[in-house]
Amino acid sequence: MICCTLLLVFGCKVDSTQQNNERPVVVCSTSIIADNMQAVLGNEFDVRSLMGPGVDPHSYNPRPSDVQLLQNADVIVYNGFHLEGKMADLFHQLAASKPTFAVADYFPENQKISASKTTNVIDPHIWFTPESWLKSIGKVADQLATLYPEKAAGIKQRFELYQKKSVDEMIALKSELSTIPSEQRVLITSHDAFHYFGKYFGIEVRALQGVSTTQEPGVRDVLELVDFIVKRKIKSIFIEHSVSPKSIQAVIESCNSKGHKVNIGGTLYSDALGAQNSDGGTYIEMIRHNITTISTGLK
Amino acid sequence: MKSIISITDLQVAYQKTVVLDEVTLEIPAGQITGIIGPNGSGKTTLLKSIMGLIPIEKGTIRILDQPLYAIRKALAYVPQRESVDWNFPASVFDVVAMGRLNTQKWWKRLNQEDLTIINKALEQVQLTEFRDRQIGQLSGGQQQRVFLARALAQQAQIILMDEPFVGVDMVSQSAILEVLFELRAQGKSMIIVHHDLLTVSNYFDYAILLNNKVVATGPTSEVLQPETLEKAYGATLLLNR
Amino acid sequence: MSSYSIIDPTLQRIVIGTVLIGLSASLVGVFSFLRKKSLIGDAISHAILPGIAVAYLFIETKNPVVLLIGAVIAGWLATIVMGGLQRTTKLKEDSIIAIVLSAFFALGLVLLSWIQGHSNGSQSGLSDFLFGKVAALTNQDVYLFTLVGAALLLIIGIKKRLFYYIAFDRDYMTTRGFSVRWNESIVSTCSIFAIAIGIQAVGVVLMSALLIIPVASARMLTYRLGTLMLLTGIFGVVSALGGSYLSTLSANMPTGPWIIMVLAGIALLSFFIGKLRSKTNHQKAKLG
Repeated sequence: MICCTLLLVFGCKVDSTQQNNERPVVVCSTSIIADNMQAVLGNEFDVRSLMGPGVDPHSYNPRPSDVQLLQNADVIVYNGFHLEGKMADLFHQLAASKPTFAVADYFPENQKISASKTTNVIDPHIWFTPESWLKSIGKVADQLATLYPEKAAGIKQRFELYQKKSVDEMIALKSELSTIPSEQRVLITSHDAFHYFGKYFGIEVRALQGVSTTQEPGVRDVLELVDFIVKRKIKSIFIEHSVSPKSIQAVIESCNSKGHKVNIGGTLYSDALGAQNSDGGTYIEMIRHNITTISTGLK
Repeated sequence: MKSIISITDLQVAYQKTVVLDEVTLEIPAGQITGIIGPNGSGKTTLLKSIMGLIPIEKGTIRILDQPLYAIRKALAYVPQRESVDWNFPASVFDVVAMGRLNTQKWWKRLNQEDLTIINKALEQVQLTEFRDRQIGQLSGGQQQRVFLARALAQQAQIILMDEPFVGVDMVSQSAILEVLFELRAQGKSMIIVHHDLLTVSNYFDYAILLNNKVVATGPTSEVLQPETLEKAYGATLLLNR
Repeated sequence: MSSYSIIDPTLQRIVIGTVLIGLSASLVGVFSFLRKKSLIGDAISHAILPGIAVAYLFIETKNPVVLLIGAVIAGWLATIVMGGLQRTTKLKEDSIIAIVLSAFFALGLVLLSWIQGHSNGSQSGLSDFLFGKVAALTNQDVYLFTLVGAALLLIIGIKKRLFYYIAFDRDYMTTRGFSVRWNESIVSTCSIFAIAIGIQAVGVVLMSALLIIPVASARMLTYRLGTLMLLTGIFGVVSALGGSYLSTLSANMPTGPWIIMVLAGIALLSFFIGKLRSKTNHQKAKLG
């Protein structure tokens, strides 16, 4: 019996040292960050995502298995600006014992958008400003290069390739939306995730819920949005993969009752990527899908 | 004697304790019968068994030579006063009106005949002026009279009462007794669980003395003999007759 | 700040929906109150959570009928468990309620957490059942409320006297030959249904307030059943209307909590009016 226990203990120890000799484990909070990191760090690192496809980071409650995953990680990368609303304390704790990076910390000051007119809270959906976002990802990558100098060259090379490819794609997509008449060029979604998106890609943005999905839309919010849609004769409104479409349905019903037919133009990816084999499985694909869906819905 | 209720070999248990053990007795018609005995002797249990409120282990109970479910209309039950919350939102009238419920056609509203019967019952117990009073605002004795009025409104042949004289003032006591004697004169039968030995001979014609078993049954004078009382209460009791 | 007319479709939906819920929940609450089982309503409100979670797991959409069925099954299970515990243990009723409430609710939270981690999106919103989501009521919801609400009001309307008498003197009604157990289970079932639709408006946490406060307030003002039910119904409707109205005054206002706030105001008012009346009655009695 004692032998078995000893074997178990030593067996475990052997495992962890084996892990140290293998690739460093980088745990990313969202699937978006994980996708970016995977492209930049390649196979030299073991990149994991805490939240799976379609998971809402605003309301995500970490479970014990998640905490274990984070505690066993070598590096942690998360979004910041309170996107992972319920995990702030946890990240703070982890930062004391291992390299923990918030992409938000490297995000340029002049690009920040306020979440509302009344508070100092910054809108956390910064990945929708591709060029600044990628620069910030690059800065996180630099930090990793400093931590793992033997892998620095690979990181730098991969990042430059990835950045060029992504930015080229984004600039091409920018022109897609300009053909929609400005009166109807409004992106209406479940929650306010698209301000950065709207600013970069040139489209007005409105939403039912606030910046966080944990904020309930009130009756007045529905009333005002319905009025807006009917007045501006918006053709489509959009739901999100990670957010419940129930409130949007109420909006649509009211618009229809008021004589203006508005459709669901499609489902957008907002706070998370789609499944691997879907049309939103990577960062670039996700944005491309959004643009295509929006332009089809509003034209 | 003509009996209205025949009980044979009744056995009732409550959580492994035998409360009534092989009880066999007859209850006479047209008389006021008192069920007496020490605490825990099974008095209330006997009453509740007759009314079908508790399950019985074995034995039979025949009322007017019929089982309970066939003859419910002939019985009126007056529960212990404490079995009900008197702060309940109800008036005296509301409670007495329960006596006019029609089990088959429960949706029927009160008609003129029902109202007459209810008012008469209130008159009989002398509670007419309290008709619209909330029941919690009555004295103990008045509350007891409300229960009696409800039983009267049923116009049943047999009335069963559980300790109706507990905590009741003198005025109410005599009012209740007056009604009982009147009912007896009309040929109705009353079966009453009673707590006070001193008043047994004043109230009851017939007595059943219990101590989880039947100790004695018969006219009160016979049952109230010191030897029989000793068997039930286990002590010599002095009673002024 | 623009104002909205009463014919606005969103407002209409919300008013009809909350009024139906307010009316049926408060009237069903009358009978829980009379039976002195008001706290059980709280247990059932919380116990419904796992039912909704499981229903969602089976059918991935948030179809209100399916969720209602899940909620009702969970509510019934909780009732059966509480009844079983009462019969087989020596525990007092409040302990039994506390146990069932927390156990079921915790199970619900576990299931929600599991769903959150595994589902392919569109699942956030199940937690809205905790606090209600009036702004998101759709026509389908309102049809369902109308159906269930009408059925509840019909049953209560027809059987109210029986339920009332049984709550007052159970034994006596048994001796009269009424199926007391059967009627009591009808009341329980009505409560479960009222709670299952009610939580869509005010959520699990506040639902029991909607059952208890209207009748408790009315009780401070009257002891006649007819008046009691009338006042209770009025309080239920007024709080629904008032809460809905207050939630339109500003952005990001939740409706459920405002309904309960209006109820609290009504309760306070009833308390003072009741005290005032008993004082004047006292004085009248003294002088008269």
